[in-house]
Amino acid sequence: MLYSILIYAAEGVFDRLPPDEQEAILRRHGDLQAKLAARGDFAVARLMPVSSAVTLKPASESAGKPLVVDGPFAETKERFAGFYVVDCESLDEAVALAAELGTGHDSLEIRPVAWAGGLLAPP
Amino acid sequence: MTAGDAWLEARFAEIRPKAVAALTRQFRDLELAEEAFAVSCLRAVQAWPKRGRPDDPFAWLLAVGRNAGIDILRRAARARDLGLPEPPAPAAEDALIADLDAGGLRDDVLRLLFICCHPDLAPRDQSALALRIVAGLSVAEIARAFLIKPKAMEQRLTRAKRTATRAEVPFETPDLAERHKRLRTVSLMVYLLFNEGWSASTGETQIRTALCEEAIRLARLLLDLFPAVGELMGLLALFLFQHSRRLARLDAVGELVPLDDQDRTSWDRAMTTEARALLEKALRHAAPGPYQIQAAIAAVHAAAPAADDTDWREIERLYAALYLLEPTPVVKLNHAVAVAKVDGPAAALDMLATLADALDAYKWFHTTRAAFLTELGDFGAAGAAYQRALSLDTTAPERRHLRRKITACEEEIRNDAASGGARRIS
Repeated sequence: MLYSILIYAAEGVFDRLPPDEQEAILRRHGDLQAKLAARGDFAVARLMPVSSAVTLKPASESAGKPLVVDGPFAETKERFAGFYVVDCESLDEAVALAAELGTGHDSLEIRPVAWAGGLLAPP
Repeated sequence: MTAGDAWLEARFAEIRPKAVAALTRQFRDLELAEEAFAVSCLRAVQAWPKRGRPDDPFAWLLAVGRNAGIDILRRAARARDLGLPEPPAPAAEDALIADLDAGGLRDDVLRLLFICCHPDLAPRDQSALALRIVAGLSVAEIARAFLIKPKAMEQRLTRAKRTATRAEVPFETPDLAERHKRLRTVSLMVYLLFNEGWSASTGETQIRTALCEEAIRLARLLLDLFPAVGELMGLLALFLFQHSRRLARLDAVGELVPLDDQDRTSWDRAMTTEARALLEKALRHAAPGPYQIQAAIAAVHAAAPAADDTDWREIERLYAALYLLEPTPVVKLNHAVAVAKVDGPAAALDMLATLADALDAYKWFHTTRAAFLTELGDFGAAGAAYQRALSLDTTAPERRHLRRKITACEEEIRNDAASGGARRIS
């Protein structure tokens, strides 16, 4: 089963942390990525701030094509900041791996991947 | 300070502009709003580690801040023995947030920034005030960034605050025209704040980078609140393109390195990528403005792997477009630099002739003119132009640079005379 680890964080906070704390967080990511690379294929992405996002709203009957609006999908306090996609035997394993990042500050959502394509396309 | 404390502080700093703005509207009193927010942060430091972080920290801080403000008012009333004032109706937290989601919050933050931009205040005081009130920087931090003593900054801020709050900007929701006027005013203040940090001279650059970072944060805040305004995308993109060069623009001894000589591999790629994405988004709106055009010019520089690869034809076109929107002598001077690269120094020199009066006290006018004259081989006139620049307000490294240029011109003249003499003999 492929699992994705979704990272939720308040934007602009990482940027304000003291350098040693930033490094500690990045080190945990580096360690996990090294471990995942040793296990096989995985994908990871860090997303830009939501101000760079556009959202496609479903087409209305009169317009016939989706409406593109500036900004993220939902106006929430925590913003989707990045994700991992990992091949795991079980949900427990995915939870254990995600927990290695620590959940002190940010929420992590783990959701089975229904379909993966491109770089993540199953062989 | 523990890791948790640093994180809390970072989170409070992110929330502050919105919370103080909302509380200012609630209490119609800036000082009370600041005090109420400080109290709510203090309560959070005590409560969150024990009881867990709330789902919506902003709503929590706002609700606690509102109650704290009411308490402060009650105490003051009791002290005056005038009985209780009519306290603001204690709205439920949900109602409070619904009100903010309805667009009230973005106008609150914009109003707060706009209050800092009082026309009677010098641009530097406007920025300093915004850093104190909106960004929440300490007086000491602001004084350091502006290179003045904390005591003097304290006095300036007190005066500025008095002036700004005298204006009584109305608390009603502004109409579209008023909102755009405020956005333009506030954008200009943030733009000047970035330039204040960026134009720092040798030795101060590292300290003053703080101003650039705060300007970037304010631009992000504005774009977050007004996500469909192309000029805000342009403004943030411009800052990010500029700031991406912060390491390359200083050499080993801390002297400024001109754009052409910078090591482009040390430009911050993450920043230029984000800037490009923002600029691309802005272009979809097909509503060009000065910030977008300046960002587009910066994008052309960022796209060139080496200085020689720069698409000067495109930059020339962009400056021509910028001049249509902002017909200032400085824009024309920059346009002339691009024209020199595309059509040669003679054409550019003609453009400068019309600027001689307007920019006579501007050192870059004379150094640019001198560079064109040098290219044309008129070393006498070039040397005189460098002399003129030297007579204006310059920093020590600039004076060293100018004297080197003047010596080089004099040498060329001597060589000319020698070879001319040789020709006469033969």
